[in-house]
Amino acid sequence: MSEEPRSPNADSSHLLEVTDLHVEFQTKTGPSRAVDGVSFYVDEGESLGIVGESGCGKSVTAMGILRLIASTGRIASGSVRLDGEELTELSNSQMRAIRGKKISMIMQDPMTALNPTFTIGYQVGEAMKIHEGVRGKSLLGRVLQLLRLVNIPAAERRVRDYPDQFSGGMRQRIAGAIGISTTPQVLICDEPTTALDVTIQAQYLELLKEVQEQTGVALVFITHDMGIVARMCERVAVMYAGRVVESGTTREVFRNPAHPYTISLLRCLPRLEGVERLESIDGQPPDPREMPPGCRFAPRCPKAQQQCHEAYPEFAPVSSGHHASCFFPGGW
Amino acid sequence: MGRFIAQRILHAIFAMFVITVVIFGTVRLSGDPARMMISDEAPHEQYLEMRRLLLLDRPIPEQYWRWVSQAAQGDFGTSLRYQIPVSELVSTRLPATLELAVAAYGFTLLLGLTIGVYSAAFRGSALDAGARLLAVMGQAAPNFWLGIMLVLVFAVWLNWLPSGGRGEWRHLVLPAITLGWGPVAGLMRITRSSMIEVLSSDYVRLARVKGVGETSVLWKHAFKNGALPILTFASLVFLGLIRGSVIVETVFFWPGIGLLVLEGVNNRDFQLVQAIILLFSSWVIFGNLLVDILYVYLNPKIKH
Ligand SMILES: Nc1ncnc2c1ncn2[C@@H]1O[C@H](COP(=O)(O)OP(=O)(O)O)[C@@H](O)[C@H]1O
Ligand code: SF4
Ligand SMILES: [Mg+2]
Repeated sequence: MSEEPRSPNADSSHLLEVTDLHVEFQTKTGPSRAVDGVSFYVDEGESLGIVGESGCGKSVTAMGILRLIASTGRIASGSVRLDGEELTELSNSQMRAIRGKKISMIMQDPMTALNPTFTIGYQVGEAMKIHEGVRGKSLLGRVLQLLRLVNIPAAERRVRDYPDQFSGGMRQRIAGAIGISTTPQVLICDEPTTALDVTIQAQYLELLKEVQEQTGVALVFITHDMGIVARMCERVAVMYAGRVVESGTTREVFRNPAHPYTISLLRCLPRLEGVERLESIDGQPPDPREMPPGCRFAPRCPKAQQQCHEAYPEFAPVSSGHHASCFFPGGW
Repeated sequence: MGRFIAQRILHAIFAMFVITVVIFGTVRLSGDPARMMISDEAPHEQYLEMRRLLLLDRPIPEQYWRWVSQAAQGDFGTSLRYQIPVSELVSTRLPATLELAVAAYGFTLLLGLTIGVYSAAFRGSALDAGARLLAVMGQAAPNFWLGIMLVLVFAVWLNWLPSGGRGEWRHLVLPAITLGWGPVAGLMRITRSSMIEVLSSDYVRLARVKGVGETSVLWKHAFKNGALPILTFASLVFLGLIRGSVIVETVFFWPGIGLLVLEGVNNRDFQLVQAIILLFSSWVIFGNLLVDILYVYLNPKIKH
């Protein structure tokens, strides 16, 4: 495949396409398959939600795409294609040229994502300096432009300030400015609003939407909140225990959820009136070192039968463009 | 911040007072210098004359006060042995000691920081394991032993480097390594643990997400954050090197302050010994004070 000329979307019709990705960690108590066969895609200008409880492998998937898995882990197999290019086969320096340029990321916790010893001006400008060689006055101009775009007041004065002089909401907007600074093709947002309060969260999501409309960036939106998926994403992939258990358009998945795990997540959503009792799912996702042999949701599933404990249900179409892996799809 | 520094300065002054009293007392208790200055057969009158000359017949507090107030003005009396002012003697020997200490410090920093940073970056690798072995060996070997071994190998057997004395750079290599070796292990460990913490942080991860190169991730993004404990330790190391120079100078006949104080002790040259110990002590006390101030200045949490 490497002999073929590289042209955009040479082998793939999607901008970012993850296929059967496996990530494995070596731990003291044995190998841990944190991501165990994940596939999804996202196209230009589109938003894909990756949703699931904490510990399902969402962040590890994101880091796998960027090839920034901790040194105790590795991508065991699978493919990540960005704009027709196979990222898993690139050299480290080729991969560095893509990170922060074609694909970027906003991390979960705004309090820890910025370096306390560099000014925010430096941090916002760094990726442009590396990838576009912008320097001096024009760099400062671009930094100020970005800071204004993400609504940092008095940007001229504040470029020289350090992260600890900003509120959490502002820091997350600065992290957003860093993420979009080089107008990447794909922006991975790993629970970027979890640490923010509700009003600031809404503003932030709005901002991301605006940026997307202006730049056509594809968003991979990682969250545990179905409400955010409904608001932000055209399509959704539901992850459980290192695998995608259901995927489809947001509309279809919300209207017609097939996997009991998806249904349980939807039942955790507050109703519009906000009066109904919130449900939560009993129990916890399994430890990746001790996965159940059959359906991984079986120990917590209200519909589980004998069959569910013995075999893993195939990821099969439910309707057009809507897939799920469950022997007994639908509600109960 | 100002209050903190004022407090530290007061501490330093108090420590200096205690040190001067201790030095003064120890030298007086360790023997009668006047008796050492004259032959055993000399008449008693000559002994009394010598005591008068050295002001040893005055009340103790007065002797102390004279010594301290003159020392404060840079007058440490006259060396009994060399019959020239102690301050002159010390200042001719000081450059040699500083040269050795700076060279040793360069060695310590180069090795300690580099190994520390890379063993954190490649945690669990062969390099990391090798570095840990080196650390254990470094701390187990006393520096006089290391000095003798280095002389044996590089001066006696291989004949690559001189075994002692001061001159061109080749003379500096072995004593600098001997002196600098000890703190390498400590600096390496502080650097490693400090860097490991920083390297697992989100902002270092974000630097990588941005496409920052690995060298820059390590030495810029990570090191700047891990630098505070490292710098504090590194400054203390320098203070320690001055102290360690006594032994190393003796092993290598390095004509610095360390060798001078040893000669002074052998000759019962109490003016000289007093002065040098005072110099070493104030070096450590004011050095510590500087480290404290540096720490405050560098730590944004205390500063804001
Ligand atoms: N560096 C690591 N070493 C070992 N296990 C890890 C490591 N990072 C993540 N994991 C494991 O991978 C699983 C998925 O984690 P993660 O992707 O962070 O979940 P989330 O969906 O909440 O983002 C968890 O069970 C976690 O314990
Ligand atoms: S396969 Fe069985 S256990 Fe798994 S989700 Fe479907 S019904 Fe539940
Ligand atoms: Mg996560």
